[in-house]
Amino acid sequence: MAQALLNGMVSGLLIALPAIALSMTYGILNFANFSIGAMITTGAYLAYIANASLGAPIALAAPAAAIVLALIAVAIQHGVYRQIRNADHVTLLVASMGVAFVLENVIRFLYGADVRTLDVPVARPLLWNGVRLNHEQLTIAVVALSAMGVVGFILKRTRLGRAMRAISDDPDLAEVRGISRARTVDWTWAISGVLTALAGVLIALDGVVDPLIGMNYLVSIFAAAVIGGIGNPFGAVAGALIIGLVEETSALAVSTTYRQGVSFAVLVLVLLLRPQGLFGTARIRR
Amino acid sequence: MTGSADSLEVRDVSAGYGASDIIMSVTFAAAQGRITTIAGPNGAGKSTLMKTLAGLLRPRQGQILIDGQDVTQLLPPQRASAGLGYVPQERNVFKNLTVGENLRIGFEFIRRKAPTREFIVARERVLDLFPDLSRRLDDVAGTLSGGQRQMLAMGCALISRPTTLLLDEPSAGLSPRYVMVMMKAVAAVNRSGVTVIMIEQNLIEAMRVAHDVVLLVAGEIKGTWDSDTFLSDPLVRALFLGGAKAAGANHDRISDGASAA
Repeated sequence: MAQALLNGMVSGLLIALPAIALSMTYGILNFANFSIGAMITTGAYLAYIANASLGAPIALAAPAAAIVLALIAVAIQHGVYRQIRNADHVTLLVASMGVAFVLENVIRFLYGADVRTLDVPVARPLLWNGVRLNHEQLTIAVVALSAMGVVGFILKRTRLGRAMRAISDDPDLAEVRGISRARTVDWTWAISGVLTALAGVLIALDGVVDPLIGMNYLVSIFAAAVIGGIGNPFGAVAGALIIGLVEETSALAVSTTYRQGVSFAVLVLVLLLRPQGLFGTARIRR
Repeated sequence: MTGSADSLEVRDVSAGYGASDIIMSVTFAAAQGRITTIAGPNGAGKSTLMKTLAGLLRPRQGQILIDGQDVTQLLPPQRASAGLGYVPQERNVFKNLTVGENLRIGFEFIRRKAPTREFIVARERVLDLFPDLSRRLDDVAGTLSGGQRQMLAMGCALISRPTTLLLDEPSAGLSPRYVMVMMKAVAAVNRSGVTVIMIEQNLIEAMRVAHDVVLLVAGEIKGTWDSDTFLSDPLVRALFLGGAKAAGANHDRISDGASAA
């Protein structure tokens, strides 16, 4: 049980990164970015290129992948979402599905469906009272917590963060107060790119690189963001931890094949009891 | 009236939502350093006019000038930087952010280059005007009372020191005490040199502070009055059916200090 709780925490921290990204883009652009799974996959492949193909150590390959994916995300914003910015959120959601297909198929075209691994040194796991923590899990926890700390600092303490929260609160008023929506949206995508790339690298670190690694997490990420109250990045962290813990502890009772089903069940339960999410505020859409 | 004496000039502006125009060929000017009230019955298009002036709604035709500069093509953030402050009637504060953050946002994006100490001075000025807010700086704006929220909205618009201020019904839904506070604040802000253009349903209150009145009916300008003569005009009386109200309208004006203008 202690092992399951630990694994759940680590898995939750991992899910938290893209869940924060999803919540941020939802809060500011008002649409659910379905391409978040494909972005994770792209991040993992970018790190794979830098690490396995170009020979850079993972500590260098990961930030490189994060920066490149941030640029790709901003480019997609300008090339796709900005072109249809006045469309309703369903259109934007469908467009993000299109983006996901393009990203995944570009990867398949270039690298096929083969399973690949990052080139990282193998280390002995840490053992403590029978609970095992491997180095990849430790890396996931440290990187995810650091990234969350940085995002929290940006949101709470910087001008950019205030701009992002202001737009999420009331876009018209934000404009009246002098906030450039276009610039803030670009930064939101850049941060979203960094977070999803890091998630991709961390998933690859603890497993393999293949064209579906991001997609496999999609339900968990959406469940985490919605449970936390979508649009609220801080809630997304709590939602992710809940999902991580529930998925890992449920493995003690039901087969891990049903992992996503468990996430989905938790999501349905929360939506029935508290439709705005645990930390969201109820709002009426007009 | 020459162009240079007008803080805001609206020339032949038409705007609306979808296919239909709500305001039609609106032309008027707000003189520098004065308070101009836009009066008119419900549905006359007053708020639409304000949104068009603030840049949230694109005019279909016409020109808008602030201090002689044509701002018709400018987006709301650029108009704000050009010195135009705007307080919407509803949804005028970021309700999930704290009072302190709201004030900071009111300043930092318009006065981008200004050092922090300038913000602190500006904030003190706003808190002097609305002392109720000083105790609530760390509270989320959504928890404020209606009156406090209105004060915060006005404070956020004032903190960047606009030259022209647009107020959409600053006293709407407020208790008499807060109406008084808001109107005194409007007069004080104006005394400091800010041109004010204000929509106000409460004409009696509006006439206490306003200098000029522009009447908007069914999207069209019906004329401009001096605030002393507005309520006694037969056209206005017929429109608002407020004979009794109009009689006492010029009494106890919230004037520009003891040596009234």
